[in-house]
Amino acid sequence: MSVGVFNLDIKGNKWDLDREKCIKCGACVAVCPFTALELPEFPEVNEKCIFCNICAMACPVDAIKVVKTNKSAVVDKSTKDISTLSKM
Amino acid sequence: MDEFDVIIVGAGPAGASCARQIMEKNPSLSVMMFDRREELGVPVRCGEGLEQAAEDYTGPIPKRAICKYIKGARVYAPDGRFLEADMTKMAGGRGGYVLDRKVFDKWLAFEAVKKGATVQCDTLITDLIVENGWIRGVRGINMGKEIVARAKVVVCSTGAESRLGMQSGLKTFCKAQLVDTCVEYEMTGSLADEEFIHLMLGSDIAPRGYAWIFPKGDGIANVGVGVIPSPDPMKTALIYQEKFLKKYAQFFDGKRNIMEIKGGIVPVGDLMKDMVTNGFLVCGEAAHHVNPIHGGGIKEAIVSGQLAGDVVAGALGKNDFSKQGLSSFNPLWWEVRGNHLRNVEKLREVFEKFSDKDLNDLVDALTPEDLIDFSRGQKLGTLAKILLRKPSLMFLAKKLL
Repeated sequence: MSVGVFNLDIKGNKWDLDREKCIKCGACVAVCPFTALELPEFPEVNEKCIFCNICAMACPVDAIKVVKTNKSAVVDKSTKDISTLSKM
Repeated sequence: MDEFDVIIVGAGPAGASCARQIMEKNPSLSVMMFDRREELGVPVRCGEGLEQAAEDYTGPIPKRAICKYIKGARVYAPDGRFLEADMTKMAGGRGGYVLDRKVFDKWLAFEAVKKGATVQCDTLITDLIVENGWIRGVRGINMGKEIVARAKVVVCSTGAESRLGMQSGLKTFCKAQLVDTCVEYEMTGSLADEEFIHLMLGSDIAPRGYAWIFPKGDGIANVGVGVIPSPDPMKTALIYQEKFLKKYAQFFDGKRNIMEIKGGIVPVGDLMKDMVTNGFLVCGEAAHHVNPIHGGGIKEAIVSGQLAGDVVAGALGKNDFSKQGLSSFNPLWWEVRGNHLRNVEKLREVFEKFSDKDLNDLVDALTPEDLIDFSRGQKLGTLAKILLRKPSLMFLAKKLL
């Protein structure tokens, strides 16, 4: 499992979780196309995040804020390749 | 390191039903259920409604797991008029239950344990062990300690929010357009008729989805909304929930005693064509086995878990747990449930296009029996005929015929 954080800032692109609002339901984790979120307790984001905002859309309580200002800072990590996902 | 015949990740309705079925087919197999939660059934992420017909699969549900017996459903058009479907007066004559999932889930797991399966909660499975295209086991954390366990077959019944299934290479992830995002309160002071569940339609309170009141008795009810995800922070499920409480204020005592707040997503389509790979099978909500129109997932999970159990036990009996050996799950599930659910999905695609006025008109045109048939994916032709009578909706009829 990747190490996750509640706030990610990669060269101006931001992912922020408001833990006061979050109800730990996992909606964000379910819709993330990049397996960039895990739910040990609160959702945690890792470096696979491309700031696509889909998690924020699915959040029923508006607890996630995503800001994407710097498109060039994002590396598209395809989730199709099984070898990149299984940590042997 | 532990070794089992089968590891089941997620001991909810799908996982527990699968474990029980495997043990019934072959009591000599070793089946381990891992669950990430510290307590099975908790937290509840569900309206807790279940039709009585599910007992054909589970056997009689104990009284302690049932909060309220329900006769049927009332479906409210956006203008507030409703259509009442009393299932006790229809063919089969069976209603439904609003359950206490905290009791129900433990009961289902216990039924599997009684047959010889093993369960271990507070175990977060983080990774599948993948070797040369085969799933050979799992890694995880059990009460703070890292664990590794191997198995001939790993069954993934983790629910929709888990990412575990994706490591197998199967397409388990939910497209954001094909989920509804939900908020639910368990609250007191519900004044709605407790013999029915109440489903409210309307773009003002639940765009694409619906709002609901599921009575649990004594004025306690699960009250929630499920809506299409939106990037607009003013269109979250929580905001629609408050609009719903205001619009249907007559159903509440106004004191807002909220005992539990729940949230989550429900897959409303995107049924998986391929649910198996070498040494691996995915079932239940993790495979999007949910009714795409009402979002009911407990019965679908139980049925899909049982079918999975049959297939896994059969594959182990033949000692072939390759993709080939497990592949009979795909046609089996599609035959028993998938084709129905695909019809329901088509129906949802049509309903999505309806304006509030169309929905109001529809309540006039439909009978209670139609409503139940539609929710089961049957008699879509009836709806198509109704649509053909309205020039503005004629184009939608084609989708159903």
